[in-house]
Amino acid sequence: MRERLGRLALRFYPSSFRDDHGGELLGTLLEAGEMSTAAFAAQLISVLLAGVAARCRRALTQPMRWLVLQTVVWAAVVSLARAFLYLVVMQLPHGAPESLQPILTGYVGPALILVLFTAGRGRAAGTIGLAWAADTVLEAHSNPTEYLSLGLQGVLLPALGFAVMLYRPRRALTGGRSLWILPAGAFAIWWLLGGQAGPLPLLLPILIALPLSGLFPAFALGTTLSWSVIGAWILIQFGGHADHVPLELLSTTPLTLLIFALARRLIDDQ
Amino acid sequence: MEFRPPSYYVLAALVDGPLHGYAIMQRAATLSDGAVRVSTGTLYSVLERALSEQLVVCGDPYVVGGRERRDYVLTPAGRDVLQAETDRLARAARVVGARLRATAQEVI
Repeated sequence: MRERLGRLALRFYPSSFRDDHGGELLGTLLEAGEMSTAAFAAQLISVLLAGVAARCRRALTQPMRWLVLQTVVWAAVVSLARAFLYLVVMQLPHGAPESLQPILTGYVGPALILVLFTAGRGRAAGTIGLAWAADTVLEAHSNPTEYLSLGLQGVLLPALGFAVMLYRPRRALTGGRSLWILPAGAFAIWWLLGGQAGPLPLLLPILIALPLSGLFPAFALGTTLSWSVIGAWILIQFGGHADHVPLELLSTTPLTLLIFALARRLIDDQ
Repeated sequence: MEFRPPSYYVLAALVDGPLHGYAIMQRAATLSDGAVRVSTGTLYSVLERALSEQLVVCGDPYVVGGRERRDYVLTPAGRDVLQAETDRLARAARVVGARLRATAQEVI
């Protein structure tokens, strides 16, 4: 039982550490916790916390260039997931589109991209993503009213991320690739429950992503960047009449950067 | 490498020769008169950092009583760093000790 718990606790460490030191750490843990259940529990907790800290250290001290690439990718994926899940919960219940084009652009394309990204197929996701972005821009061009501005803010950032996925798939893809479901899902569930536009549905996804800044900094930064773009768009569209907290949304990216810098400093000091 | 008490005593535990993980924890507790108890998680964080800074090296894993172990050895660089930290602590203790003695008479 103790060995099983120990092996479970080891899962909190990065895999490279487990490969190098997992066996001996488990041996030391069992030896140090031999005296009593309380002693074992205390040792086990120390291993759990150290494992999470090791993961955070690894994520936070990676080269800045990789972090920037991964942030752009996450911003693209979160933006796409948000748009996709919004369509699924708000439009699909009223009936699927009758023609093939909106089905492909609104549902099939985004779903395929998200599945490929989650499965770690970055190059394939990037290729289909760029095709999707091009198609969306063409669609917007033929219908140049509100859809153009909406489409562009929803397409430019994803297109940049898909381009990164296509050209640097190994660097672009990080762990926790299914995390996009958290912010996008929170946003969709809010609408599904009949929520009205206001501060909470827009800020809730960020509040979910921020605590993960240590473990998945690119995910947290990408999510806030994605929502900051929405903030910029609202500000441009509605100016001083906006009641959808654009400034709060815009401020989330600098806030996440500040948290990231502080966490990195903390890791350096240890 | 910053020397918090656990890091200091983990390296100090290796001064007398190679030790495996649990033996390092025990030796650190003995050297600090029980004041510093290094947990398993902290031990391997310190060792990983010390390995990356080449203050210690580790041998190949071996099994005793069904449990895997690996011995750690202090490198010459690790010994120098530990000596420098020990000198710094001794200097600080001398200065503060002298001030305490000097001011003790004034207080009385």
